[in-house]
Order: sequence, then structure tokens, then C-alpha cells
Amino acid sequence: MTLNMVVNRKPVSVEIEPYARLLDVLRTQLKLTGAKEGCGIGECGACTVILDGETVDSCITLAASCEGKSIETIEGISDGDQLHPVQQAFVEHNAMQCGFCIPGLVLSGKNILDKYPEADRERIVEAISGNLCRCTGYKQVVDAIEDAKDKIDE
Amino acid sequence: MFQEIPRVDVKAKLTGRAKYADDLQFPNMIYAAMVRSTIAHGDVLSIDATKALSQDDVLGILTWKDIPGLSNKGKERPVLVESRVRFIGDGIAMVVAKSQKAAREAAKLVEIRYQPLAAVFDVKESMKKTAGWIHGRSNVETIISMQHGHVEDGFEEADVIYEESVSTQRVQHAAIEPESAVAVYQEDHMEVYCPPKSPFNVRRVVAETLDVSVNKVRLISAVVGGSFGGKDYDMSLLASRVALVAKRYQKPCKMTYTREESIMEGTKRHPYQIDYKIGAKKDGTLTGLSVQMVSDAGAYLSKSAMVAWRSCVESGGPYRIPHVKTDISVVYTNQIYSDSLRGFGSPQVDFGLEVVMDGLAERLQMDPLALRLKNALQDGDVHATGQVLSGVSIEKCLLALKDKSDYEQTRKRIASFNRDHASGPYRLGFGIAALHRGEALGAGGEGIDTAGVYVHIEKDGSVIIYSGLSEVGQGCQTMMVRIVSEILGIHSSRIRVTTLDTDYVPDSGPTVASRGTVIAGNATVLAAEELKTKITEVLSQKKWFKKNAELVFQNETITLRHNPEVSVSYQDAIKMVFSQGENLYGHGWWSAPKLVWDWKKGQGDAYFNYVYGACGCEVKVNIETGKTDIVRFVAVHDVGTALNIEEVYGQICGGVAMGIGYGLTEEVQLREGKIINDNFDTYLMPTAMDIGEIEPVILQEHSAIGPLGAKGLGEPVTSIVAPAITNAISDALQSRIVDLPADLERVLAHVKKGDAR
Repeated sequence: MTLNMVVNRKPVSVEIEPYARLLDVLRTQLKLTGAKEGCGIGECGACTVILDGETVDSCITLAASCEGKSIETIEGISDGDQLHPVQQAFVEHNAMQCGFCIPGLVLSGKNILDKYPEADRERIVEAISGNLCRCTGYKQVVDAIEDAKDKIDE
Repeated sequence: MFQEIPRVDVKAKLTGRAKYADDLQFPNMIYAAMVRSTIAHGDVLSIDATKALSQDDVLGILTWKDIPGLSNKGKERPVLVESRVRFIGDGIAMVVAKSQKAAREAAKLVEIRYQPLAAVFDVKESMKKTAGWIHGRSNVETIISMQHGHVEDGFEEADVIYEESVSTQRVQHAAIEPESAVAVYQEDHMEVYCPPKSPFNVRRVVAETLDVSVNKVRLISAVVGGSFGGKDYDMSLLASRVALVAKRYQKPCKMTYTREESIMEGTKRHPYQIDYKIGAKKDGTLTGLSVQMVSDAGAYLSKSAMVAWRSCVESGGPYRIPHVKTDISVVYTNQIYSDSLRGFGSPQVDFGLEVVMDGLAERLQMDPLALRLKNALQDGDVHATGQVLSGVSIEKCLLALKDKSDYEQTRKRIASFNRDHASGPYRLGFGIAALHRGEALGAGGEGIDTAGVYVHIEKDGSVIIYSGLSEVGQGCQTMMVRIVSEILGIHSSRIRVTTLDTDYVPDSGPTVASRGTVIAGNATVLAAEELKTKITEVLSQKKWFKKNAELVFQNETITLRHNPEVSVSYQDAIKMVFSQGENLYGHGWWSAPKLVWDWKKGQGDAYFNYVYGACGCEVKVNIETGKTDIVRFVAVHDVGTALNIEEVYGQICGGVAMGIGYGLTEEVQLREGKIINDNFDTYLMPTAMDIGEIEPVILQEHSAIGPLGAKGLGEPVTSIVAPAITNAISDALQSRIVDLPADLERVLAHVKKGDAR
């Protein structure tokens, strides 16, 4: 079947199997490997993408259900070498180590600030609670997202 | 002290451009999937692949018979078993297909017939003569001992004797990246792409499996999505497996484990059972300590003996104890095997002793911090290994903890909260723990501790670092950039670290034992110093250069120390060197000081240095649900000179989070050898909501041996988290928790036992 979506602001059309997972379509067919598979059951959040303004685990999202929808992946939020303010804040706070979970954490951080530009620490913590990170202990990640809050409008 | 530099790999990782092994694609790539043992002990009688081979896109099946070299080696886990399986998960065969999905589906259709053997799952059972043997003619692989003074004398001198049995559970690395590897067949060699913790061990095992010399295997590191001690021998097996397929089909082959497979095959932390007996004078002075331990190695040897040796050496903690006797038995069972996991034998003994210290303090009616301070090791003290110590900073760590945690006020506040809210569901508690930890590999057979680093200055003044040490996420590449930029006095933006490629870098051992900063860091220092010497030699031919003049390399400029008016820019100096026909490559090779351990006496120079730390934890326990919330975690660590303060901060926060999992929720649960909780819905790791307020306190006591005075850090930060937490819960409930993890059920059991209700 043919799937039509908007991925990172560009319309795409791909031939998919009816049972394909969104994660596989992104990684294998569209070569967007920033979303990772960590658990395959929607627990770790490494496969997080933004679907019509909501974060989803793409490993448990049926690709066919994304017909006509708009998807943002980690590859779409920076502009060439110009990082998104959330990404820039991760640099400044050293909020990463192995980096495997980082695309998911950045997208969860970006999305909560898109929805609630004034999000407080508690809301940020809750927003990333679906993203497991084994390296950082989350503190620098939360610091980074909180810090990015003031920089998004600039 | 230093200007902060951003991580060198930060941009690639933030934009999704960093390539992990499963992100790699090669033309005509084929895929493999494992067929694994479904029984815990037995012999394979037959393999029926008829159904699997009839599926679309399936190319074939490989067993140990397809291995040209070694399929197994003594007590190590085999690449593919010949017949004997020893745990549920042992690899038996590989199905090869044109797609990953086809390979995985077909692997499920392979039928294995077994002759089952009696399996043993309990270490105490396994030690009995009646148990079925797993390797050789005893399930006890080894007993390692440490003996200092005469422990019975120590107990005779004591006014108080306290005895306790503690246990620790089986946990796992659970790096978010599951294991993955790609092998690409080349005419004269095999190329392997994978995330390795020990790249040169992986290369060696692949060569042994293919029966080729090591120079016929080239390992190029993919970005590593977390290790924590994993991706070690596991990765050697996975890389060997894909290499076998790639060789057989002469095509690139990839295999990526699902999370369930990763948990089934991935090595774990050794569970320990420990019996303690400790003696002290009325004033708290420790007189003697006996530690009797049993370690569950699981089905294969791996590094279990080395892990046990570290546990043995560190079993006396950072305390002055004149008489110590420690024995540890390493025992096989028919379960997933144990290996290195962040701490390498430290977390178990640190948990045990720190729980016992609190128990003893209670018996002595003494404050737990006062008891630790009274017995804290000092410079010149004799360690339980017989080694005379220097550079000891445990007292400073404990005093910093006292200060930063506002120790006495915190205790008072908690006591009054618990008094005032006696009818409510919450109890507060505060607990502490302290540690010393041997740096790097030590004398216990973990291998010769060396590393090599090349640093090249190019004609435009830019610099490339080639290192054999794997970047697993801890930031070792950034550490090397920091050292080179400090020594050559140049901006970090001039420097790039290459991808680890075994064709171009010397064997520098594994990323283990928190050794990267000290061992590879020192090699980096030597390489950069060699470059400095080469530059100095050329500049010394200049007229302005007086004999024996000393040069200062700083701010991209080289200046005469005694006449700062005379200087040359770094860029011009580089030009001068090349115009003289000289080269600018520097080679650093660093070996750790020689150490000797007397196995018979159980004494010796175990480590060339120890690091120290102390932690304090405040918890809020709900006595109706058993849920523990971490309110605050103060982690004091002496890191020597901090080469990058933000990285140190990150290591501490991450280490504490991992320790919180060890203390409260994580446990690999097995039933008859089968792992029950095989994904992250049931294996519970801390989320951002579970870590409370982590407060790193960084002490910087210069190391005499580390590069620029730095010390290792990765493992100490995890090792004393769990005992600080359980001591806090014990404080809250007035009932001592001596087993891990302190999950809901265990806490509720102690609510019933204690005075909390």
C-alpha cells in the first residue's frame, strides 16, 4: 500500500507493507536513522518522533495509521549546522554521553516547550519520563530543556 | 581550572547523524538470527531446520560445524555450542536470510532435540558434591582469599561483635542500545563494525573463530550506545557470528539483537551472598573483620575470578582494620553468566560492609558518620592488603559530606518529622556510605595495564589523535583533546579524534576499571610531550634560543619562560619544523606501575592508587505502599584534577541514577534458569521521575600518578549508592535492610518488622 505523510515539512510517498511499523519505515525506507530501537515495546522512548504535535513511540505506531499526518524527526529540527535551541542547550549542559537515547529526549523536550513554552521543571520531568537514559541520570537533560525555554523565542 | 570544552561527539549525537551499528547499511547485505538453547543444561541431539529453510528469502543455517577455527575455548561461552548447552540462551545455530524479518521468523522454526541434564540454579546447592558438574569436576571455580593479621585476635580484642548476612541481586547493564554488529567480507581480510568495549579482544576472538591471524581482521568502531561493562565478550561472540556468515556467503552480514535477546544473552552483575563478622572496641575502634562470600558466576567463567579478586581486596572498605580475613568462592550455576558491570565486584562488597557499619554503629550506640570517621584510613596507614597507603582522602570526603548534607541538622529535622507525623503514611530517613576503590586493572590478573596513543600535527597546525581506547559514551575522546590542548597550549577546535580502527591504533586494552583517564590519559600526555620536544629541538636552533632555555606553550604561542618578550606563534613554529624536514608525530605508550599479589598469603600491592568517596541519601518511605522516594542524594567524590567539570558532573549523576536502580527496583528474575522479566516493562530502571535531587560534590585532590593529576571516576560513583539508600530506609523504618533490592515487597516486610508503624 502507498503511505502519504509529511516528514520534516516535506511530503513523502512510500510503498509499505500493511503491518509495517512507523520506526522501520523511517529508518529503512526513508533512511532517517536518528530514531532508534531500544526495546520494541514502547517502553524506552529511543524511537520517539513527533506526530501531529504529540510525541509517540514509533516502534509501536502502525505506519499505515500515519496517512496524511505530519511527522517530525530529530533530522528535521536543526537547520543545517544551526542547532535548535533545545539541541544547543544540550551542548551547553553536556547533557549526553553515549547519545543513543538523545534524539528521543531532544524531541520530547522540544515538544513540551512547543506545547507549554512556560513549562516548569516538574512538567519537563514528566514530559521526558517516557525516555529511558542509562548514562546521564537526567539532571543535565532537565537543566538543558529548562534553559532552552528562554531561548526559543529569541 | 580549565576552560570548558564541549564534547567532541556532541553535534553528531544531537542531530541523529551519529552512526550506531544498526544504522549501517551496505549493498547486498544479508541478515542472521540466533537459535538459542531453551533448556538450562543438556546436550543437543539433533537440529531440524527443514521448515526454516523452506521459507522465502532464507539462505541457510550455520552451526558449530561451519566454524573453521575455535568454536569454544575452555570454560568460555562458545560462539556456537558443539553439543553441551549450559544456560537458557546458549547459541546453537544461526539462520541466514535476505531480510532481518525473514531470518528472525525462520529461526523460530528450527527444531532442537535435547538430552537434558540435571541443572543447578542455587550457588549453595551447586557447591555440594551431589550437584551436576557444569565444567570439570567441581562447580567451585576458585576460592580467593585475603588475610591480614589474625582475625581471631581481632575478635578477642573486641568489646562488641556484630554479625550479619547480606545478599545482592543479579542486575544488568541495560544500555539503551541493544547489541548489533556488521561484518563485511573483503578479499584479504574481514571488516567488522560494532560497538566494542574491548576492541582488541573482539578482533582476537573473531580471528580465532575464522582461524586467521589477527591482522586479517579489521575492527572499525561504530558509535557505542552505552556499555557499563557490557558489549565485552558478548560483542566478541556477536562479531564472530556475523563474520562467519559474511565469510561463508561473501557478503556483508548484520545481526542486531532484540531487547529480549539482549537480556537473554547479555552478561549480568554477580549476585553475592556474604557473611560478615566485625569486632570493635567500645569507642568504635575496629579490631577485626571476617568476610565470607559466595559469587554466582552463572554458566561460564568470563572475568568472574578477577571480579572476585577485586571484591576480596576491597572488602575491608576505607577503614583501618588490623585483622581481616576474607574468602570468596566463585561458583557456577546453569544461568546466564556474570561478567563486568560498572563496579566490577565493588558494589557488592561496598553494599555489604556499609550496611554492616550501620549495624555496628547501632550496636555501639554511636553515630554512623562518627564511626566511619573514627576508623577512616589515613596516609601511612596499612591497608588490609598490607600495602602502605598514600594520597588517602576518605576523611576529607566524609567531612565534605557532613558539611554539604548539613548532617546534624538533617538528622534532627528527620527525627522531628517522624515524631510529628507518626500517624501519617510517610517516614523520612537518612543514610550514608563510604568507599575506597582501586584504580585501573590492579595486580589481580586483569592483564597488563598499558595503552598507546598517537598524536599527529598536520602542516596546517591541526591535530589528529589516534587512540586504541574505546569511547563508550564516557567522554574519553574529549578527555584526550583536553590533555593535548593543555600541553601544546592550543585551542581544542584544532583537534580531532579519529574513529577507533584496529588497523591504525595499538592495542590499548579494554574500557574497564575506570582506567581510561589514567592509562590512556597518561599515554596522551607522553605523545603530546614528544611533540613538544620535537618543536623545541627545531626552535633551539634559532638565534634567540639560549642554551637550556625553557619554553612555555600557551595561548597558541610559544614563549621563552625567562623572557616573555621573545615568542613565536604555534602556527609559525609548526611551519619551521616541517621546513626543516622534520616530522610531527608523537607516540605515547604508558604502562601502569608493576604490581605484585601473593596469592598464597593473600597480601600484596593490589593497586597503584585508590580513589575515595562518600554519599548521603534522604528518603521518603510510604509505609502503606512500600514505595521509597529519593528526596536528595549528596555524592562526594575525589576525582583528582577534574579534566572537564561538566563531564565529571554527568558521570556522577549517571552513576547515582544507575545505583538507585540497583538499590530500589532492578533485579533480573529467573525461574528454573529462564529470565522472566525480559524487557523494560518488567525490568524497572529509574526514569527522570525517580532520581530526586542529585547533588554532586567534587573534591579535587591532585593525583600523583594520573594525567595532569586526574583520577578515574566511572565506577566509584555507582558503587555506594545502594547502601546509602538502604541505610536511609533502615533509618526511616527502624529495621535493617540487608538484601537488595529494597523494592516494595521488601520495604513492606520491614515496615512490619520495624517500629515505623
